[in-house]
Amino acid sequence: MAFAATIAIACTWAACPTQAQTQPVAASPPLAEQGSGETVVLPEVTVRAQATPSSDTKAEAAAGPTSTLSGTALRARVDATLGATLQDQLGVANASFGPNVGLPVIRGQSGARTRALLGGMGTHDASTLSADHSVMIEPGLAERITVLRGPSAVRFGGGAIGGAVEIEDGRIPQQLARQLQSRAEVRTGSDGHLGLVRLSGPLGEVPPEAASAWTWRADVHGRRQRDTRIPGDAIDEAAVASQFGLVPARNSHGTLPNTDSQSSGGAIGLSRIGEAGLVGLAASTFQTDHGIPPGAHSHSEPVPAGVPAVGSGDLRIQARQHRLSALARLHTPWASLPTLEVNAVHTRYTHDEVEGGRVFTTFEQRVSELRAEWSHRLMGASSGKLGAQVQDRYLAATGLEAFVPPTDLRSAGLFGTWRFEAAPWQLDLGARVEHQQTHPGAATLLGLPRELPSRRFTPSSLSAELARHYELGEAKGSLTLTHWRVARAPDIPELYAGGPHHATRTFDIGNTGLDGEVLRGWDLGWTHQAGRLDAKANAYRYRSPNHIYQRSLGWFYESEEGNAQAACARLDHCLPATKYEQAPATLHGFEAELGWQVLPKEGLRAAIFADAVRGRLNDGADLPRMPPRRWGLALTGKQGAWQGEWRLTRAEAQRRPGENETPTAAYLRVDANLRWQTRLQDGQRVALFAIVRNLTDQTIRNSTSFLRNYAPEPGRTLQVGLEARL
Amino acid sequence: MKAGAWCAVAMASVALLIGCGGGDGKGQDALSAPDRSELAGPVCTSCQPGVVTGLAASGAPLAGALVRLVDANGQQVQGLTDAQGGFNLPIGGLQGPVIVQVIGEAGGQAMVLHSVVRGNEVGKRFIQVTPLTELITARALGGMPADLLLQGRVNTQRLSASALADAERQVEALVRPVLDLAGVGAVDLRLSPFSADGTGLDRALDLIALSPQGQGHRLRALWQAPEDALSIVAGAADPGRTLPTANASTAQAVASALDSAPADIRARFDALQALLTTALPSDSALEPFLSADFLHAGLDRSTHIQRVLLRNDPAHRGGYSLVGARFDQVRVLRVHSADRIWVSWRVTPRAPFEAHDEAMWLSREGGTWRLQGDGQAARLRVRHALSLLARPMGEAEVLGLPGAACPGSASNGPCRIAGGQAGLPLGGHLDLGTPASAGGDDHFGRLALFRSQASTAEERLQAHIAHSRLLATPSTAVQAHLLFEIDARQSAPLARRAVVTGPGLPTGGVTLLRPPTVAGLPEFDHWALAQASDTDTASEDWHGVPDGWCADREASACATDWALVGLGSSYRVELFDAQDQSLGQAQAALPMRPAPAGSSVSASDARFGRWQMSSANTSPLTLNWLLGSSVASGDALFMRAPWSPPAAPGVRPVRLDLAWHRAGFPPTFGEEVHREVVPTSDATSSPWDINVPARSGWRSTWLVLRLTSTDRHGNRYIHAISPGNPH
Repeated sequence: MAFAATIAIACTWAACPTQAQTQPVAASPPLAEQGSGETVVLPEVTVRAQATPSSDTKAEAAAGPTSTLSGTALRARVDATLGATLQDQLGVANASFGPNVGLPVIRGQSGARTRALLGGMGTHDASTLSADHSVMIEPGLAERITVLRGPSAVRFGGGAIGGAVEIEDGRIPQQLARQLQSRAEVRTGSDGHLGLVRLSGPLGEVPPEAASAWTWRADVHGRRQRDTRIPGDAIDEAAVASQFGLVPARNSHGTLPNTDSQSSGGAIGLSRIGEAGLVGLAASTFQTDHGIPPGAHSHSEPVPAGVPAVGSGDLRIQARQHRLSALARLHTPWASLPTLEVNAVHTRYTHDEVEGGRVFTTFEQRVSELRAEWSHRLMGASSGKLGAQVQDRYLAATGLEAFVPPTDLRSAGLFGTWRFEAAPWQLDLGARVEHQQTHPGAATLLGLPRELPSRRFTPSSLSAELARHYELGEAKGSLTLTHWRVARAPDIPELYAGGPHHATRTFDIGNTGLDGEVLRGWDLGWTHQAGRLDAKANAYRYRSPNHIYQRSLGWFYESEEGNAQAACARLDHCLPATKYEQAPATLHGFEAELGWQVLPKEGLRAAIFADAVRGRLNDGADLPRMPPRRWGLALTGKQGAWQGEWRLTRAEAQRRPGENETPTAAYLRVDANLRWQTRLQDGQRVALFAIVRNLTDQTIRNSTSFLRNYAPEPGRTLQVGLEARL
Repeated sequence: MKAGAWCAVAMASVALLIGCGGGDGKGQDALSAPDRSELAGPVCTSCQPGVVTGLAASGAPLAGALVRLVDANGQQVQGLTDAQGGFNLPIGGLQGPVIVQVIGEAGGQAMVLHSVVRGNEVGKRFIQVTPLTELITARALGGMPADLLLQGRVNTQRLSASALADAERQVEALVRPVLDLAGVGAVDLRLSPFSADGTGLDRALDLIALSPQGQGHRLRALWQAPEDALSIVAGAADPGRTLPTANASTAQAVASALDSAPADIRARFDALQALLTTALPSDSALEPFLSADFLHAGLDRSTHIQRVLLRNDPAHRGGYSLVGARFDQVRVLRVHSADRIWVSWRVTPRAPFEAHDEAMWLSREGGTWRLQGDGQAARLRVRHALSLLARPMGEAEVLGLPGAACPGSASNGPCRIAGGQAGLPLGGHLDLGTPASAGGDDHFGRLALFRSQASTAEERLQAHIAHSRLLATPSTAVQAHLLFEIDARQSAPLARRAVVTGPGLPTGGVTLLRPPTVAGLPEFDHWALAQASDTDTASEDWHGVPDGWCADREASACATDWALVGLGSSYRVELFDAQDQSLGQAQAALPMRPAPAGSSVSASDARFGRWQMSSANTSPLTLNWLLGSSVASGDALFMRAPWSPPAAPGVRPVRLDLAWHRAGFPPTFGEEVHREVVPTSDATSSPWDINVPARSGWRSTWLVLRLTSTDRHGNRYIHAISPGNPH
C-alpha cells in the first residue's frame, strides 16, 4: 500500500514532488543530494498529500495505461497548447488547429471521447465542440499532468471513454503554507513570450502548533505569441487540389499569417486546512485572443468571380472563461470510510468569432458540476472510492456558425472503484452508471426548420485491472492486464449539429437517432527494470460496436449561398458535408520505450521509443485524423546543475487518412532542451533554461490536424527562460 | 444504519443501474440530410426556391402537357407545360421524393412519362421528364410508375438518392451507344438541363423509341425493328444489355432521316394541307401523295382516298371532313433505310373535330416522299372508358316492391306486380323481369314495363305509357370499360368479323362485328360488340367490354380480368371475311387508365361532361314524355338537351350522340334507330336542340343520349342517359 496513507516528506520547497513519472517518488534521493552538493538546513515542512488510486498510485505501481508528467520534464515541454505540451508522450498526439489550438489525441481518440480535467473537474470550455476551440488553461501553470489512456470514464464520466488529461494547477490550496512562497517564470523566444507569477502563503500568522489555518494562493499569467514561422509554404496546394478540385489562389511562405495570439488570466484561492480536512475555494479567469490561419475558417469574403480564394485570414477567436471551484475534504473517524471529498465547479465560457471587427458567432456555455467521492476500504478492498457526480450544462451558439442549437444537458452518475491487493497481485475494479438528458432548442437545417427531440441515455461502464509484480533476481517489473467496457452518451454536436462548421471546414449534421457509444478495451502493460535497463510497453485493442463518426456525405455546403451543392465552385465557400453516424470500429496500437542508463552517475539515459495506432471502421474505411506511427531516440542527462534532453522523433507518413482526407508525409523532428538550476543561499531555487523545437526546421503536417493542408506545425523555435521559486 | 450498509446499498444500486443501462430508445433521426447523388448534376441557375423546374420531352417537347407532382401521401400539385415542354410548379406542401408525371403528346404520340425529384433537388436541380427518366423511375420504383400511381402503391422509400443514381447509371449504360451517336458524353439523364432543339441529349431522345408493355417497357433504337426491341422489366437488373451500336451506313441513314426527311415530309404535308384548305380535292390530286403499293388499315390507295381523305359525313352524322385540316408534329419513329421511314404525325381537322395521330411508312420515290401505309388490316385503337350510367335497383329491393312476386319462387322469375295492386289497374301486370340469380334479363332492376291486357293496341299503349316506370336511378353508377375501336371506315372492306385478343380478355377473345351500312355510310363509327342476336352485322353501337364481362354466359373462364391489364397492354385484332378467312391483323396498345380505378370513381367525378336535363325548362326526359302524347301528336322528336362540359382540367367533350329508337304502330316487327352526332369541344356547350322529323306511323320506343369526353390519354368519359321515371 504505497500511497494510501498520508506521507510526510521533508522538502526544501513547498511543491513536491517534481520528478518525472518514471522516477517513483518513493525512490527520491535525499533532498540534500538533489542540488549542487550544497547542504542547506531548512525548517522542516510537513506536507500532506492525498494519493489518488486512479492516477498516482496506479501509474507508478503498475504498468496500467496511465502516465504522469511533472517537474522539470513538464517544464521542458510546456508549450502554448495542451496538445503541444503532451505530444511527446507515448500514445498522445496533438490535434493542432494552427499554433494556438492544440488538443490532445489519446490513442487516436479525441474530441468528445476525451476530457480535459482541471483539478479533477472538467475544463468546460468548448474544446470538445470544435477543433478550433482551445482548452482554456495555461500549460505553464500546470504542476502535474496525468494522461489517463484507459478507462477514465469510470471515474470522470462525461464521455471520457477514450481517455482523459488531468491537469493539476493547485489553485485551491491543499497544503498548509506557513510562509509566503512564490514561483515565477518568464520565457521568451522566436515564437513569443510567457510570464507567470504564483504566490501562496498563510492568511495571517500561523503558529507552529496550529491545527488548522487559512492558506491563500494567487497567480497571474500572460502569453503573447507572434505569427508562427514555418519552413515553407503554408498551404499544401497539391493536397488541397486533390481534396477540393481547386487550387488556392493565395498562399504564404515563411510565416503563417494571423496566427498571433495573446492570453492572460489569473486566479485567487483560499483554503482552510486542518487535521479534519480542508475547505477551499478558487476563482479564476482566463481569456485568449488568437487568430486562425487563412483558409481554415472563413465566413465569407468577396473574391473576384472565378478566382478561388483561401479566405480572409483575419478571423479571431476571443474566448473568456470564469471559473469558480470549491473543494471540501473531510477525514472521517470511520476506518472503512476515511475520507469524504466534494468538488464543485461552476464555469461561464464565452467565445466570439470575430472577422473584420464583426462578431460572427458567439458560443456560450455555462456548466455546473459537482462530484462527491467517499474513500472506502469495504469488502476487503485495500482502497477505493464511491462517488456521485452531477452536471448541468447549457450550450448556445448564435450567429453565422451556430451549428448547434441552444441545448441543456443534464447528467448524473454513480461510480465506485475498488482496489484489492494480495502481493504480488493487485486488482483494481471500477464501475459507473450515468444518466444524461439533453433538451435542444429550435433548429434549422439548410433553411428548413427541424423538430429536434430530447434524448435520454444511461451509459454504464466497468473496468478491471489486474497487475502482477515480479522480481527476478535484480530485475523487477510488473505485468498489467486491463479490460474495460465503457460507454458514453453522444455529445450535443453529435446529436444536434446542423450547420456550417468553419473551423473544421465541414458542414456538420448531427444525428438525433444516435445510440450511446460503447468501447471495449484491452490493454496489456509491462514494465521491467534490470540493472541499467528499463522497459515499458503497452499494447491495446479497442472495439466499438457503435463508434460515432462523421461520415462524409460527398457534397459541399456553399456558405455564400447557404445551400448544398454537389461540386465545389469556390474554395473559400465550400464546406464538405458530414453526417454523424455509427458503425463498428476497431483501434489497436502500442506504446513502447526501452531505456538504458548509459552513465548512471551522470544520469545519462538513452531511450528508444515507438508508438502506433490504427483505427478503422469494420467496413474497411480508415478512421480520419489518426496519428502516424512514430519512433525515436531520446537522450536525457543530468550533471550537477545541468539537465538536458535531446529527442529525435521520426513520424512515418500517414497513408490511411480516411475517406475524403489527404495523406501526410513522414517527418523527422529533433527537439532539445537544456536547463541549469541552482539554489540560492536561503533555499530559493533559480533555473535558466533553453528549449529548441523542430531543430532541423522540418515541414511537419500533422495528420491529426484538421488544418494540415493549410497550416504546418511551427518551424524551428527557440525559447529561453528563467524560473524562480522563492 | 452503519456507513458500511449505506455503501453496500449504494454499490448494489450502481450494479443494478449498470445492468439496466441503455437509452430512451428513440432512434429517429430528425436531421436527415441529402446525399451526394441527390445533388448530382449541374446547378440550376434558373430555378427558384420551392419550385420544381424541368422540361418534358420525347424527341419533341411535350407542349401543353399536364404535369402532376405526387408525393408519398398521394398529395398532388398540377400544372401545364409551356410550348417548349418546360414547367415550373411550386412544390407546395408535398413531402419527400415526389413523382413527376407528364401526360401529353409529342410528335403526334400520346404518352405518359415520369421522373423523380427529391426534396433537396427542388429549386436547385433541373428535372428532366423523358423516356429515359421513365426508365429510371420504373427501375427505381420496381414497377410501372403509371400503374403504381394509379394503385397508390408508390413506395418512395425506394427513391433514395443512391437508388436513383444506380438506376440512372444502369439506364445510361443501356442507351450509351445512342448517347455516343448523339455526341453526348458524361450526363445525368435525370438532372442535366437540355433544350428540345434536336442536339445533344434531345438528339439522343430522337434516336430511341420507348413503349410501355405489361410490367415493363420495350426500348429500341430508331434503326431497330419493334420485334428487336429490348424488353425491360421494371426494376429488374439488365447487366450487360445495351442498345446496338449503329454501323456507318445505319448512322448515315439515321442522320438523313432525322436531319432532312422531316422537313421534306412537312413540305409534302403542307402541300396536302393546301389542297384541302377550302374543299375536298379530286382523287387524282391526292394520288401523288400515296405510293402505288399503299396499304393502310385494310385500304388500298384509291379506297383510302375515298374513305379517309375524301370522307365527307352528312351534317346529322357530324359533318366530318378533312377540309381545313392541319398535318403537323412529324416525327420519325423508325428508320428502315434512308428512303423508307416510319413516321407519325398529328391530324387536326377543323374545329370542333378531335385531333388524332396517324403513323405509317413513308417511302422516298424519285426524291419525293409518299405515304405507304402501315400494312395492317384495320385501324384499331384501344381505350379505357368510364361510363356514368343509371344504377339498377337491387334484386332484393325489386322483390320488396309492394305486390312484387315471382311465380314459383323468387329465384325463378319473371317477377311481376299483378294488376290491382300498388296502384296498377286491373287487366295487366307490371313486368319486373327476371332476376340475375335466375338467369336474368336486361331490364330487371332497370325498367318495369306494364303489360296491359286491354283489347286495343292504343289502350295497351296508353296503359304502358302510364304505368311503366324506370327502376334504375339515372346518373348514379360508374362502370369501367375497355373500348376496342375498329374504325368502321378504315378496315378491310371484306371483313365481317373481328376478334380482339390480349391481356385480360377471354381466351377466345372478344368478337366485334362490322356496323350495318345506311345510305352507303356505316351506321356507327366503330365496329360493335357482337350481341347474342347478331349475325353478321352489329345492332348496338357499343364496343366496350366491362370488367367481368362474358359474351357467353354459359361459357366457363370467359370473364375478362382487368388485373392483367396495364399501361401498354398490347391488343391484336384479327379480321375475318364472311367465309371466316383471315384478312389480316392490326395491333394497338392501351394508354394509361384513368385514376382511380373504375369501381371507386364517384358519380360526381368532374371528368364527366353531363347532361343537365333536370335543369331544362322544356321537354323533361321522362318515359311518358317520350312514349306519350307530345310525341304522338307529331311523331317527331323535338327536344332541347342542355349539357355542361367536364369541370376537370385536361378533360374536354368530344361528341354528343343521340340514338332514338322508334317502331311502327301498331307494333310490327322491326325497329329503326335514328342517330345523330354532334362533334363538340369546350367552346360549344350550348344546349343541343334536337329536331328529328316524324316518320308516319312510327312511334318512339326508346332514346339514349351520350355525352363523350376525353382526357389527354384518349380515355373516354361517357355520360349516358335514357328516359327517367315519369313519377
